[in-house]
Amino acid sequence: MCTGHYDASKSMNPLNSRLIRTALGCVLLIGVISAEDFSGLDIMEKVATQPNPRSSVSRIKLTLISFRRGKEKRRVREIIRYQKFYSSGKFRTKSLIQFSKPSDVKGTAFLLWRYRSGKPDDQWLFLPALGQVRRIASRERSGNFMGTDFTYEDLSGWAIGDDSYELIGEESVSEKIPCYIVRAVPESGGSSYGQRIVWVDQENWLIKKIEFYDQDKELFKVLTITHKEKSGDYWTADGMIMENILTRHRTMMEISDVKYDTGLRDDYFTERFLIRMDP
Amino acid sequence: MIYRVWLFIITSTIYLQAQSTYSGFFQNWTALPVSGESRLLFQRNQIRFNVGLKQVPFRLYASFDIKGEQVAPRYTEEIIRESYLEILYSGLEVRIGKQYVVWGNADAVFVNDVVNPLDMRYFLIQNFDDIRIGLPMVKPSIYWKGWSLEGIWILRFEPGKVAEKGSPWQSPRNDSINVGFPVHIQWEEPVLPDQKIKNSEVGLRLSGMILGTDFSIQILNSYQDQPLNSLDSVILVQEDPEVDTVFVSGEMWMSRHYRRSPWVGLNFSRPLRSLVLRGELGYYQNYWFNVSPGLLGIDGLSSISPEPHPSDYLKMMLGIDVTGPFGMRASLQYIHSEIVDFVSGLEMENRLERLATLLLSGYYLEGDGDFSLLVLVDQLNKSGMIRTSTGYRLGEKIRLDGGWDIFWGNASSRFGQYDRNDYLYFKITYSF
Repeated sequence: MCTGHYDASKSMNPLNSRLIRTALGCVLLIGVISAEDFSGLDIMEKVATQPNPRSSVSRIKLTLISFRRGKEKRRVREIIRYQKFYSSGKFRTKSLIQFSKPSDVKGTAFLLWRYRSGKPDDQWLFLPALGQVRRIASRERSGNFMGTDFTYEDLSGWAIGDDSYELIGEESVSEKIPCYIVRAVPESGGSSYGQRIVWVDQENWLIKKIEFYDQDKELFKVLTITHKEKSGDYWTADGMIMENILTRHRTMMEISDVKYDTGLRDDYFTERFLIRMDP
Repeated sequence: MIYRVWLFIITSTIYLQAQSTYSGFFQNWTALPVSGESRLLFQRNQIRFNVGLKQVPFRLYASFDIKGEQVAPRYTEEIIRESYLEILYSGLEVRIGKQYVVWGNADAVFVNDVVNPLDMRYFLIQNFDDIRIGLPMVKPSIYWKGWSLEGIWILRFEPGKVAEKGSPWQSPRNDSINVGFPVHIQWEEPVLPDQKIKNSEVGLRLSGMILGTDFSIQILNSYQDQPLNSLDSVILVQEDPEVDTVFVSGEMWMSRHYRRSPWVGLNFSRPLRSLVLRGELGYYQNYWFNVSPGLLGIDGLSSISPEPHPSDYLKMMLGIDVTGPFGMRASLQYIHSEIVDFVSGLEMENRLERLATLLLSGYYLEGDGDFSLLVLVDQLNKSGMIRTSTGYRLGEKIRLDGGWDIFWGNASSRFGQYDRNDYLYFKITYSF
């Protein structure tokens, strides 16, 4: 076993410094198998250095599954997400999310700018019923997104320098895919998790599964990538399930109609387009 | 005519395979007074249909509304809320047609949201997007490096709407006064400005971000939404001259005209950790105020002019939004208005007006249910309004809402005048 620490002074390809995107929008990954021994950091850098698109547009369906009085109840939320990724400069990503389901919130839109410096996100919300764009505070990163089991922290991902990594073993997961198991412990106080255990496919450096632990190191959430697809140079994890072990609540995420590098301009991610997106 | 044009456009767009989107809802809304009276206060069936058609660089958008009021007075409603053509070319954009322009972001009050006139025929009980009235205008905009410069040219003046006589939402208006003898007031119909270029309204807005703060400054030269009263003539009648007592009565004719009032506004909003601090400041140069009819100059009974009184007028709002766990949000606002050159005898009896608002909202049942509490308090007149509401999403398309509004204060105050109108409401909405 070996422990790796991120060295900020290390000369990196701009792509290396990109986010490791988990969950929503994560895992756009391909890679090359290597027989050499890896540290936890090496593995996570392999994950991080996969080709990333400059922009993407996707439709995301979130199915919330809960159990009440022994009965399963499903609710569907649907969004269209526009994202732009920056390899340099002050921004990390800009996202525009438009809600399309349920019908009564159709047209509501959310604009998010994330900064490379770690400065708090800038966020705006457009409420069509009021015709207003409102600046909103950076939400609690541990808060749930739209009532799902994904938190804002899960969706926005984390930079490789945010954690220390330790290779803790190897194991085959679903379909007998051999994986490295890496423990990621937050270095800074910005995370709501005590640690994450990440399963990384040894063949193509795709994340297959993540266990989320609270500050007392108790397991409470598991993310499983159920389906992935390659489009051009990029892999998309287009099916995943996040399960809360404590509440038995699950969220199924399906990503469809993904388009990469469509040339979304910078001014698309402004108040101007937030207001004028079609209902 | 406009419907045929839209039918043609929709058919052509389908033929041209332009990208189209649509949305809308059907809503039934019933309000019952809590005073025990067996009557409906408000009942409306409403169908909304929004359609957007896009063929780069053009975009057409229209929003249609069909409203059926079940309780008198039944107003004639315009079916087209918005209908415009938008042309986009790089950082340039021009929008032509009937549209809304929102320059203010205050909760439940309109401080710098001054472009579109307001439909106050039901005070604040309508959905907020039904309160603004669409205006035909040309709106060119230039965007450059996060900054935008937006112009508006309003081609035709539209006045604001107030409740008709007989409506429970009518503001009390004196039809007679007593100045030592009874005088009946004849209110003439308001005279709209002629449709001439010189009577059009213009505005400009610059907005952007400075040091993490959203900022905008805007100017507008427009007519006030409500007409101003001028005393035209007074006829005094002496009756029964053959008897010892002389009985005097009068008739007063009041003409009503719209007047211009230049305005400048400033907005800002800035996040501070889990808070957002925001503010709006609006300043009118020569805003016109009505003189109280009882103090109009009849035979030297008052020294002030019977014409509307111009004064600079300031409105400002400071607000804080707090976001908490579980989707909880609290918003607190303080609104201050001041008539700079105040004189006694105006319809607005106080130089100052102070309003405070509180909005609490949140979610339950994993977002299927939501609730809100809105409190508006007029500090000087000791009047106010509380709105409590909750909604529940029944499946993907149906939503149920219920709540109540309570008003208090004396009968001449902004909220107290509707003290008898406390009501419970129920809404069912099918959205698509």
